[in-house]
Amino acid sequence: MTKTPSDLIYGTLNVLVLKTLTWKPMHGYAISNWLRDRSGGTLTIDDAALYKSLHRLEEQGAIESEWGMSENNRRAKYYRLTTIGRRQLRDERAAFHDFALAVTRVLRTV
Amino acid sequence: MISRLRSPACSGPSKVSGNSAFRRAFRLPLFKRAAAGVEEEFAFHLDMRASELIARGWDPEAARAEARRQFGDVDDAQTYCRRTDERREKRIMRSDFWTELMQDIAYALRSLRKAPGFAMVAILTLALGIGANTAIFSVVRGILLLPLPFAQPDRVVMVAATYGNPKPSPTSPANAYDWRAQNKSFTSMSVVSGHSAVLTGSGDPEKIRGFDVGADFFSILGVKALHGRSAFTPEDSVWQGTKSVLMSETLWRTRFGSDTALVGRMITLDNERYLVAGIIPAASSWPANSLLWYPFTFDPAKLAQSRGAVYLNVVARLKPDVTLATASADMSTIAARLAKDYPNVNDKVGAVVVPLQEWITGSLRRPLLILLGGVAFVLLIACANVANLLLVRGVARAGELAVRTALGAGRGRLIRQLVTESMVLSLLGGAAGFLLAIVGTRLLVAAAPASIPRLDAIHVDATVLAFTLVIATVTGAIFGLVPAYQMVRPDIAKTLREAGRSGGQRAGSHAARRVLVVAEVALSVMLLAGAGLLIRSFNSLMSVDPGFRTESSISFALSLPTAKYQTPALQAAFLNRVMERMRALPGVQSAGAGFGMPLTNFGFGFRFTIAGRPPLKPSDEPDAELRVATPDYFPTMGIRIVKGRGFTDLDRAGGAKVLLLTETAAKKFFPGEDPIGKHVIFGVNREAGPLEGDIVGIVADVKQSSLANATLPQFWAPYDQWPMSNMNVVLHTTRDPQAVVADARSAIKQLDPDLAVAQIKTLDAVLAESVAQPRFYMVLLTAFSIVAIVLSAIGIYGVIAYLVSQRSRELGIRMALGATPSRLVQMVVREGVAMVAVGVGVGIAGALALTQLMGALLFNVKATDPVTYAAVTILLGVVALIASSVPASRAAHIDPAIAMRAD
Repeated sequence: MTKTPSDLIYGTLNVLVLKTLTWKPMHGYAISNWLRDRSGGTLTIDDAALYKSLHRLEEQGAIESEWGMSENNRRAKYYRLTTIGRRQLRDERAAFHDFALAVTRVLRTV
Repeated sequence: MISRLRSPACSGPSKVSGNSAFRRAFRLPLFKRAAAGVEEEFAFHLDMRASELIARGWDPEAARAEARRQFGDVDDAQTYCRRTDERREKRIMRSDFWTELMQDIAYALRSLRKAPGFAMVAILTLALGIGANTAIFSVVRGILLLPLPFAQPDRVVMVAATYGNPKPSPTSPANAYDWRAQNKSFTSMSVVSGHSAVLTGSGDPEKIRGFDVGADFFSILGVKALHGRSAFTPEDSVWQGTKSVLMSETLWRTRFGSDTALVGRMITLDNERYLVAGIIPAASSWPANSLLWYPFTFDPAKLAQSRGAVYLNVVARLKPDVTLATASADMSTIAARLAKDYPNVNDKVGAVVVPLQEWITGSLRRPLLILLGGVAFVLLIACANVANLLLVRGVARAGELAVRTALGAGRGRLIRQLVTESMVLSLLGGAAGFLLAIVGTRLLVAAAPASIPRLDAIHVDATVLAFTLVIATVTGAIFGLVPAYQMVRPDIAKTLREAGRSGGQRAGSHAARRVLVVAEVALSVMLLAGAGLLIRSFNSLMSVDPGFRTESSISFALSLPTAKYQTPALQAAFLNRVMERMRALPGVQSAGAGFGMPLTNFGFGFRFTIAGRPPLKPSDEPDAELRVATPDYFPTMGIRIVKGRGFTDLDRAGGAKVLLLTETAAKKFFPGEDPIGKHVIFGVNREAGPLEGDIVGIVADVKQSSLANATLPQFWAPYDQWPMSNMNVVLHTTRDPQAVVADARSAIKQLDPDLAVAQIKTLDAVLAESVAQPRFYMVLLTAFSIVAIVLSAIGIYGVIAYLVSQRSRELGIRMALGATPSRLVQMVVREGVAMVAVGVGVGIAGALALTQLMGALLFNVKATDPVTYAAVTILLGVVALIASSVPASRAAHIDPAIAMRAD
């Protein structure tokens, strides 16, 4: 399987979303904020892409959703990691490490 | 009990437990929901982001704009997410459907296992109904529905003559030639005329059934030869041309070991050599049972005089653009022209065109459709019975269902589960029924009279299986929906309250139960009336005097090949030697020979004149059947001499010519006169001159074609004066006729080893075969009505037994208050009889309407025959009494103390 740059970015976002949800079930807004805070502002996430990723992951069965009450008492859609999602996170994290290592190695040789 | 059954309707699938409750609550409509969900989710995000910015001091308007900017393309994301959600939802629903279905099926099987008695009775009842329907359907399909095994079979027609009535009848060679020459509607036309011959030279001599046909007979049918050719050459088809035959694959396989080298070789038929020109595939052999086809030829010198000799059937293929109506009009025009050209013989002769399929199976359409209708009634009764069983069972489960409804199972969901249970039942019944049908169809084909055409086309195959599946499904829907609807009423609270008590049954389902029983009884009455009418018909058919004795008698056909026995004198000399040997056989009381057997649809009509009467136009001359017999034929057959004398040994060739006539002939042709002493001349073309003689006696009528048909006037001529090459020998025996026939056969073999002894049959068998079709229909319809009445009895019994058990408290109170047991029994029985009375009333009304359709199937019995209807009413009354008095007697033995404490 060959990965094009856009695939790579897309896949990266998936890994980040899955990783975020390992902490606790969260709604989309919280995930967006969480990613923004943890990356120290380095990663500016396009919210539209984030939601696409969430719905896609839900379709794949990696996460599931449930409506609940937010901190300010509004109906919000909470996402939670499933067993499939945990496995996917493990696999993709390993793949990402390999990939980053390979890129780093190439960059060093120059 | 409830707690042990894991009900799928209460506990959702565990795999997706998290959001399943939500999904269930908002099940429909799917697409609106997906869109609303995405919209709400995005709105939440944008609002949160905006209020965050406002908290940091943004102007609200600007904050909302900034939130949208940060979000990116909202509309695009919304569309994308909505589509994704919809896809996911659809997949879940689909898998939910299958999961639930599987659970329902598993649940249904579990609950059937818990009630094995109920399951057995229900499945057996359904198997009987579905199996019988499948078997009859496969018969109807094979005979009526499957196309004939020819190319474009709907283009193949029979062209027939009519003689003053609409009945299609054979035509004469001269007319057939003219039809073929003058028509504009047919690609070709061919005559078909019986031609049997004895095959010798390879194994025992055997009489082989065959037909004379036109040169392109098989191209009319669209049948190709297996080997060799399927058409005759012009040399074959001219008068006294090359002798050649086409052979059926069946004869080729059984008699010649499938030897392909047979084509082009010679075989011996009736002591003459014939070239085998081709082999015709067995599947496309027609007429039925035909094994050989000969080229039809006719002496051109005699053609002109042949116009009155009608014995030929005609088959033809319609031109591609010609309709049946056009062809009929064409033939009518030709017939009218021929009537004008030959007024003497063609005066009242018409011509009709009949599709071949109708020609072959037309007479079977009505009886078969009646059987199909009858067997459908059986299935409906089975449905009513199973529906009743389900209703009774529903009472026991009312509590269980109410509990599940209270736990949140939807009404639709419960109905679905109950219908699934019914479907499981009906499919199990269908599976058992299909197995029954495989056996049943075989039995039907084996038991069917040989005179029913196309029996070989009857098969149980994928189409029949599909039919079974369809009727099983429809059946399940019919008997499943009513009880399901009854059971799943919204009135949960009431049912829950009453569930613990056995009296918790609503009035509504009592009514449903009664309606079902009434329907069952009504359907049974209709079936019984139909069967009863057939039984009465058959009895009156069997009480018809055939005019001859059938006991201890056996007959066989003997045909003397004209190549060997060339003159009538030689034929007569040989047959007389045969008869002498027959009389000498141990166990033979008397032996005679006659031309044609009674009750076999064999016979020829001839025109004649009576000497001393003014001459008539040929087409106005009277006609009668003419048969030939030896003197001993009449005592051997037990045919009475009514007046005058029979034939004696003195009526021999060269002596004074004599004739006998039947009572009917005497009445018809000599009303108020004594026919004895009158001289009659038949216009039969014989080398020896016309067949004539003085009438010397009157004999009793003999049924020629069937017991049901009117007796035609008939004359008898003495064999010695008019020898024939084909005769039927009859032996009246003092010991087992079958044993005698073995001796007869070897005696004949000694006289001429090349002769075939064919159509060996006891006269009892001849009689039985002639009534085989009406007997077959009667037996089948009677069998159906027996099943129907047994099922109805079970139905009545079930309902009364149930009512008694429901009312045991009431009955107990009545008994405690002083009602005698017999009073209680009466009360219960009255209820059953009342239901049956309504059913009988409805059934008789229906039967009076439906039995009108039986028309020609009835013999000497009217469709409104009061005896039949009285018998049916009495029979059902008795059944109702028995079926309701068994449970009623239980009511009489109720112990009031126990009954009142029952709950």
